[in-house]
Amino acid sequence: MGGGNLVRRARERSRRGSARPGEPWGRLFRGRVLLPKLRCFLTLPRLAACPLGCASAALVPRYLVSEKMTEELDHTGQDSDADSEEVVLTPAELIEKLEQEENLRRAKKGDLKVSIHRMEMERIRYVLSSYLRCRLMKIEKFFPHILEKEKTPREGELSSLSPEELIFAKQYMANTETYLKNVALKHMPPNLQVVDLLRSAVPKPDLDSYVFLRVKERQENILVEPETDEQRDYVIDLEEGSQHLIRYKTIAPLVASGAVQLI
Amino acid sequence: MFCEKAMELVRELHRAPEGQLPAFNEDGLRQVLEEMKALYEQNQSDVNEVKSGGRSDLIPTIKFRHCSLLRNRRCAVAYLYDRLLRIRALRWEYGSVLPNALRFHMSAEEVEWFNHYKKSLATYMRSLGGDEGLDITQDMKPPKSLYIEVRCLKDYGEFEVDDGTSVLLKKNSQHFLPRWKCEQLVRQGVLEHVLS
Repeated sequence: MGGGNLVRRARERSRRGSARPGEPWGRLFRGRVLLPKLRCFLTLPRLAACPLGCASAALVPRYLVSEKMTEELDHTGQDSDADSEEVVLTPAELIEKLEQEENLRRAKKGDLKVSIHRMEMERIRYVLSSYLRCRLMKIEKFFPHILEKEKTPREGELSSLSPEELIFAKQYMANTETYLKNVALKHMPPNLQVVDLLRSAVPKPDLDSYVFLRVKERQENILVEPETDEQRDYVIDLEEGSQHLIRYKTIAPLVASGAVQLI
Repeated sequence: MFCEKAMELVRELHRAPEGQLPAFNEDGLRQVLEEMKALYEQNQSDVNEVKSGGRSDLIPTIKFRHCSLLRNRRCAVAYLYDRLLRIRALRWEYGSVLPNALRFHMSAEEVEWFNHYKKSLATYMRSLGGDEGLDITQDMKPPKSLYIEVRCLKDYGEFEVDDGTSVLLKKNSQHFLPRWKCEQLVRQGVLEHVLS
């Protein structure tokens, strides 16, 4: 997802100060938590002044939903604009920072603010963990295909995996291959000793499954190929703000560019 | 009929309910491998005969045996891979240390695979940032409240809470403890979340 877009959207959102549904105390933190490339861009301005609040981990749940809905690994975005006042923090650092917030220290023990703050921290931690877990599960489920995609060099397109995830995926693959080789394949006839994990053993991600999406930017002329042979291809226009149920394959590049949002 | 043993392996896993790991069927696997070896040797001799003697009526037999070989391999790899997936699920459910009963169901190589997996998962979690990284095997469910009411199911002993006070976990005692401390114990079955 485009880093620049997200930052702009996040600024808008936090300026509006809208409360997320189910959040009784509205815009508590004046921070923003974005998760492109698994780094958090958190603005923690003038801590002393700002009231205790909820991180608008407003975007984090959205990433979570998006990640959960597809079988493909969402692209990790680019870094934020250089001239923003964002501070790049990783998830754990974020949680540490939240813990150390000065307001907390000033508040008396047992004060309501402390519990609300800690509750919020728990929530953020849950959403972050969930997001990372989802990605890890996808990596483990489709590891040959993901690694194959990583091998082919593409220009202009960034990797879907962070460096740590890449290492994890490679280790997982090596581990599984070694295991299979030692337990079974070594003892098999010589011409059958190599199992092509990519083609035979591990199922491919089903890019034909249907997903719900909401359109953020108007798109024109999306080519839709229907499943049955009787209907021919037709083009549709996607209006801004409309919601559709469509095959993932058709709109995959739009998800990557951020023009549509999975719900 | 060929591939019967291999089908047995697959069926055994299919019958076991989701998430459960039956004992490693070493015998079954060995029989499948032996069958494959026998088939292969028969095929080799037939191929030689065809090449030297020109007996092309053996070719369908060779093809049939080759198909059996492929099927045997597919079943064996499916059996092993599915067990790996179940073992991986165990790491996420039970944590780093597996209960002994489960460990007996795993073969030595599976234990080794599990250790490697544990290590690479730990490396990944540590690299997530900060000093200790983020333990993503915690927080499986969205948090509803900071403290939860738990009842103890087994005798566990002393349990230390954040501010230093320790709690004695005896069977059937109820406590009001912070959620994140209890989560691990709830999953292991020592504590039970009381919803009233």
